[in-house]
Amino acid sequence: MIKTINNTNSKLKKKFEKILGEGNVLTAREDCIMYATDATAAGIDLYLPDYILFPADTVQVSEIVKIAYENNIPITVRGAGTNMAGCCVPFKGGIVLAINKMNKILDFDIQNQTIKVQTGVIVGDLQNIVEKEGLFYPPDPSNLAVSTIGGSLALSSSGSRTFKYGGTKDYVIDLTIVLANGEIIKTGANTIKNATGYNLTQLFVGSEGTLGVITEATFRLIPKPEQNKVMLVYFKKIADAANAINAIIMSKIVPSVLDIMDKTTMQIIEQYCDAGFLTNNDAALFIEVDGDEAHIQSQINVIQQICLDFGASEQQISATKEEKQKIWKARRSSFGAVAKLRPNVLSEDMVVPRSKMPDMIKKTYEIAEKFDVNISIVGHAGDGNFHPHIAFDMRDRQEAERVNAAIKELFLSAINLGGKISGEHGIGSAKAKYLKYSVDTTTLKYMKQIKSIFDPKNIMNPQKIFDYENK
Amino acid sequence: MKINEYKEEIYKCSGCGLCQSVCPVYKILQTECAVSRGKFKLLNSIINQDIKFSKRTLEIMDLCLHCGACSEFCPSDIDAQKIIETAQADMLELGIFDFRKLFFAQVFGNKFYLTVIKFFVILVRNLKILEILSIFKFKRIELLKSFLKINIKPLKKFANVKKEIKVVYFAGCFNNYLNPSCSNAVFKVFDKTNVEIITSSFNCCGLPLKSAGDMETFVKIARTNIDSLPQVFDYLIFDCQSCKNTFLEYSKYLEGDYKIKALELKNKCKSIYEILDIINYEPRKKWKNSVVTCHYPCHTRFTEDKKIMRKIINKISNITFVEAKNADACCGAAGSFLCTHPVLSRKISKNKAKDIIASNAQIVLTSCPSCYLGLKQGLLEQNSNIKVLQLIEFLVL
Repeated sequence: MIKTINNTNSKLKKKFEKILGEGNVLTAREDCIMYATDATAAGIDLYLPDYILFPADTVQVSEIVKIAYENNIPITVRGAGTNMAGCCVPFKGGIVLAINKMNKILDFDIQNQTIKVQTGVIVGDLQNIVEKEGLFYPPDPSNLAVSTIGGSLALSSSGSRTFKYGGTKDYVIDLTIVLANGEIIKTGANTIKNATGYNLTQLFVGSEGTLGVITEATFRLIPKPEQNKVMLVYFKKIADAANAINAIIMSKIVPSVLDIMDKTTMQIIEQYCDAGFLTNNDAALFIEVDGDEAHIQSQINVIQQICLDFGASEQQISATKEEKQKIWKARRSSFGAVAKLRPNVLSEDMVVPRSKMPDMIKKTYEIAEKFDVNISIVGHAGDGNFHPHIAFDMRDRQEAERVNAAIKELFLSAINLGGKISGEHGIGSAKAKYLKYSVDTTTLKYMKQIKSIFDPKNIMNPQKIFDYENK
Repeated sequence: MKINEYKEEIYKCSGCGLCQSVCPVYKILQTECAVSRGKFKLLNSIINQDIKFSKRTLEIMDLCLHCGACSEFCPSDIDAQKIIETAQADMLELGIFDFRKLFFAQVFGNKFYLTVIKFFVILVRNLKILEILSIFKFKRIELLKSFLKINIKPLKKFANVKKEIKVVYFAGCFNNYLNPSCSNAVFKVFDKTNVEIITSSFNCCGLPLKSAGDMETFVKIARTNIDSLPQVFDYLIFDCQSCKNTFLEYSKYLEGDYKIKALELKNKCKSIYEILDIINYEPRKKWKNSVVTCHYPCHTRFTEDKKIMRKIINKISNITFVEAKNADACCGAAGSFLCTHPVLSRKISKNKAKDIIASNAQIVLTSCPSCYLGLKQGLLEQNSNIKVLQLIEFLVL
C-alpha cells in the first residue's frame, strides 16, 4: 500500500533538471516505487520519494541540498540500496539522492598509499583497483560487489576481515561533506595521522546520512598480504565450534577471517551454489589465514590442532584460487540464499563481547524455538558480531508479530550479555525503537543535540536512528 | 492479467540487490530501472493495484537485454526473463507497446517482408551503395558493411547424397536473408562428414515477436514451423543459438497436438556445434597461427553449448586460445534492442569490447549472428581491428 501523497513540484523539478541535466532527475510514480525500499523486509507499506536525483559531484550535491533546505524537503541518500535496517526508506518523501553516478576515482596516491574517491564508487571495484598496485583495502561487506563506499561510510560497515584488519572506520582519513544547508566541509587530511581539532571524520562514519551527505572520501591503504588460504572446519555441535573460536583467539593467532555458519545456512547455500559444504555437520568455521607461505602453514597447524581438541569432525582447505573464490562466493550469498526459504528475510546484526558468543548462539536457538520462527545463523565470530537470518512472510500478520517479538528478545539478550544491537548494519528505522535499550538517556540526549546542530530543520534522512514516534 | 500468475514469484525477491553486479544495463545506467529488483518492485505494486501499467512501465521493462545474467545469478531463483516478457505481453494487450519493436518483430515474422529485404540487400550489395556511403566514415555504415559482407554469394546446393545422419537445417533469419556466409560454412563443413542436410522452408523462429510480447503471432509462427518439418529426420540443427532456444521453448506456449510435437522435438534440436561434437568432428590440421577468444552468446547460458564450443576450439591446433574477462556477458545487440536503444546498446558493446581487447586476442569467435553485430559494434567504437567470426566460419577459413 502506498502511504505517501505525491508532492512533486514541477518548478522544483525544472530547477533540479537545470543543475543535473534532464536524464538525472526521475519523478514518475513508477520510478518512485522502485526507490521506495532497500534490502530490508521493513513491512508492506510503501513510502515514495517525490524526486530521485543523480548528482555527479560535490558542487551539484551542494546546490540540490541548498534548494531542499530552503523548501524544507527531506533528503534520503542512497547508494546501492542494500541496507538492512531500512536506512534508505524515504518515510517523509522528498528527495532520494542516488550517489551511484558519483563513481570517479579522484586521486590514487601510490607513494603515500592513499586513495581519494567519490562515494558512489563500488567497494569491490575499489579493492580491485588498489590490488593491481599490490595494495589492500580490507573492509569487505558481503555485498561488496554492489555496495558503495558512501553506504559503507554511512553505516560504518565492515565485514569478515574486520577481525584482523578493522572496518571502514579504521581506513578513512578524510571526508568531504555537504551539510544540510548546502555548506561544504572537509573533516580530515591526506595524512595518516591527524590530531588537529575535533575528529569529525569519525562522527560522520556511521551517521546514516542524518548529518550530511558524504560526497568524497580518502582512505589509507595497506600492503596486500602475500597469500591467503581458506579453510572450513566442521563441528558436530555448534557449541564446540563457538568454544573453538575462543581458543583460537586465546592462542594469539589472528586469522584474517573467523566466521561461523550453522547447518541451515550451509544447507541453503549449498542448494544455491554447489560449494561442496559438508552439510551433515552442525556448524562450520570459515577461516582465512594470510601472510607468507611459512606463516600460513604454521597458523593452519595451530588452528587444526585447536579445532581437533574441541571435537572438529572434518575439514577442507582451499588449494586453488578458483576453489577459494567459490567458497567466498558461497559465503557471501548467505542473505540472498536464505530468501529461498520464505519470501522475506531479516538479517539482524547484534554484537557481543566475543567470549559471550557461545551464550548468544545458545540463546538464539532458544528464542527461535520459543517464538516458532525460522532462524539461521552466520556470524563474524571473531568479532562477536552475529547475523541471525530470519526467514518469514511479512504478509502473514501473526508470523510478522512473532518475528518482531523474537527480534526484541534477541536484542535484549545481546544487551544483557554486554553487547549492542548493531555491529555493522546500523540502526536505520528498523531498530530505532530499540536504541533506548542500548544507549543511555544522557548519551542519547547529546546524540540528538549533535543532530540538531548539523541539521536544524531535520531534513537529512529523517525518521532514522532516533525513535521519533515515541518522543 | 497474466502477470498475476507470477505474484508469488515476484514477491520472492528479497531485495538483496546483488543483481546490480551482473546486469550489463545497470553498469551503464546505474538506476533501479535497469535491474530485476527494481522491475519486480514495480510489478509487485501493479499486482497489488497500487498503480496501473503505463508507458513508463513499458520503458522500464524494455530496459532489458533478456540476457538471463540476473536469472542465472539470482539467489532466490527468480526467472526474471519470463516475468518481464509476461508484463510486456500484458501491456501489448492493453495497447501499450513500443512501435519500433513491434515493427521489427512484424518484419521478421513475415516471410514476404524478409524476402523484400533480401532483394533490397542484394541490390545494395550490387550497386555498392555502402561502399559509396562509407566515404562519410559513419560507424553505423561500417557496421552494416561488415555485416552484409559484400561479394559473398549463396553457395549452390550440394548434391543430395544419402548419408547416415539426416538433419534438417534451420538457418536463422540473419544468416538466411542477410548474410549467407555462415550458411555457406555450414554446408561446407558438413559436406565432408556423414551428415546429410535437408533444407525446408521455415519462418522466422519467432523470437522477435515473443520479446515484443506479440504472443498470438508467435504461436502462429511456431505452429507453421512445426508443420514445415519433414516426416523423417534425426536432428533439427541451428546455426544461431537464439533460434535454437526459441524452438526449445515452443512447448511452453503451444497447446494440444502441437504441444506434444514440440515436446518431442525438444530432444532433436541441436546447435551445429552439438552435431559436430556428436560426429566427433576433427578440424583440419594446419591453421594460421593466431590468438583466439570466444564470446558466449547469452542463449548458451543455460545449455551445454558453451562447453561444446570450447571443446571444438580446443581441437584446433596451432592457435592459442585465451578466455576474455566476462566472456559470457551480453554483447549489447540483443536483437531489436540494438534498434530501439541504439545509444545504450553501443555503450554496452563498448564495455564488452574493452574486455576482448584486454585479452589480446586477434580473433573473437561466437555462435550467434546478433552477437556478431554487438561485438563488431563495440570493436568499431573502440577503433579496434580484432576480427569477429562465427565459429563455423572460422572452421572453413
